[in-house]
Amino acid sequence: MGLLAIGLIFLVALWAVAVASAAVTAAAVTAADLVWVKGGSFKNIRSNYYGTGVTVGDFFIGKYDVTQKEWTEVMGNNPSKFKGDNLPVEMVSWYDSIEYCNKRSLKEGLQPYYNIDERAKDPDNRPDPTFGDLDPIKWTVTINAGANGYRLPTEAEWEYAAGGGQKSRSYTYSGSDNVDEVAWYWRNSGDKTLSGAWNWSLIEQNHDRTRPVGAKKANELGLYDMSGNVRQWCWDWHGELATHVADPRGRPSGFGRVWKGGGWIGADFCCNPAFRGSLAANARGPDQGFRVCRGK
Amino acid sequence: MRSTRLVSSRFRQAILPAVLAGCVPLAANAQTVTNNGQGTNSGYFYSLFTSSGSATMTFPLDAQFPGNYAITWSGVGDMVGGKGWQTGGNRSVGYNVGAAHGFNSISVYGWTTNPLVEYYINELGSLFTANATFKGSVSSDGHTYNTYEHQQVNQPSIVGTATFQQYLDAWGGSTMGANHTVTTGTHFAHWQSLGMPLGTFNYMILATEAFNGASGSVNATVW
Repeated sequence: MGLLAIGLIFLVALWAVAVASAAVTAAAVTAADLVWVKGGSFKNIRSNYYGTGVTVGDFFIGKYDVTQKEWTEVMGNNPSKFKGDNLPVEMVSWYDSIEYCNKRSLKEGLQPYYNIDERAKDPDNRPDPTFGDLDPIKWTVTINAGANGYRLPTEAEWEYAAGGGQKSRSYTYSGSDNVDEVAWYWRNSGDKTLSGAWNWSLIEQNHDRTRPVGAKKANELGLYDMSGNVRQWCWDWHGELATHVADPRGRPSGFGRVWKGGGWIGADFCCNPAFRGSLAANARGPDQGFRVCRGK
Repeated sequence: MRSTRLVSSRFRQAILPAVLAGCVPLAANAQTVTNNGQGTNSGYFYSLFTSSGSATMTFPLDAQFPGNYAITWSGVGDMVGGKGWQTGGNRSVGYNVGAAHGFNSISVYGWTTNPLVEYYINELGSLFTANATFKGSVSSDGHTYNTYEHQQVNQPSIVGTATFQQYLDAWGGSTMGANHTVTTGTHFAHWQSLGMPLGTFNYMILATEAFNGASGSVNATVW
């Protein structure tokens, strides 16, 4: 009996240590990589949501875009065109990003936020009225609203955070009125500073590319690269914005998912947090990445 | 002297009396753009980029003709330059290409966003249309353009990776040394009637493009 009791105590102690270690790890990750955003109404007068009666709740959001190191540790591959541990992951579709969120949640002992049904074609994923069916994947993805796992920000959450939240100073870009101070975009992300009109040939010739996360100035909330570097997937279908609602989640159906923030290929106007981009959920590009969010 | 040789008949008609009167204002503006630049000159948006080789843009007659510009290029991988408007739209674009050689195309060129569309209204030279879909034709300003649509899937664009359309109205039969008009609204309405919508206008310029090691020059004016 005595030996059994000692053995049990030893096992319980081991379990306690393991749980404590997991808690420390999670806390460390949270402290290092996620920023707590206090919700509320939009203070940024340049936001699409300013004065519309839309509010967002409190949430965590990644301080940086998801890096290639973070992606590789979870997914075991690196699809990016430009390689580097501290570069943002790119060439990831909206579906890839959703999968990453769930796998990272499981890896860190969190509850997966998404239900992914790869067999059921999502009837809310409509053909593009201009181009037809661009997305043959059409996974049906629903949410576990109460789960504490990683997820994509909603468009409203993203814009709220990019605009500085309650600390907003209503900058033109996320953290500054000077785009070069906060964003990597087509003019400044290559060998030389480019001028003239946007032109892809010139951008290629100048070796424009992604840049290590966090190299520019942070915004009012301490978030980096919310303007430029890579564009960031949001949860929402692109469509008409909601008004007078808390935590909007976008339209119930659509043909493109929202991206925000602009990237190294695009023009400065895309780096304005109010700019709204749309891309088919299966599309990938060397300027298309994401950052994660979490609830409490 | 070089600039006066290159200028159009429209300019010569205006300038010669001034020269004869002894009040020559040709050097009124010495602004020069080398290889790459963008800005405003005499109230017009200008843009020049050069991917390799060299190009120089000047505004030799902008004091008299605010939309005037001249570009010379040498051994360029790709060069696109021109003058126009920071925000395009329905407009009667007047232009006069006084002289030009060594170019591939001269077109009214611009972008819209939401939807994302890149458009060309080709006045001189030719556009590559082999991989585009012929949609019909439109008559405007006294001649007929062939309309093409070209879908670009997940390609680089002014907003980044995107699926977007290129609208091409191809003519190329304009003449140098004479005034011409491009009524952009006619083209835009024609595209709309074909189910080819436009969005919010970005810049719109009379763009000269040259590539594959070309050397040449253009002197033109827009208004």
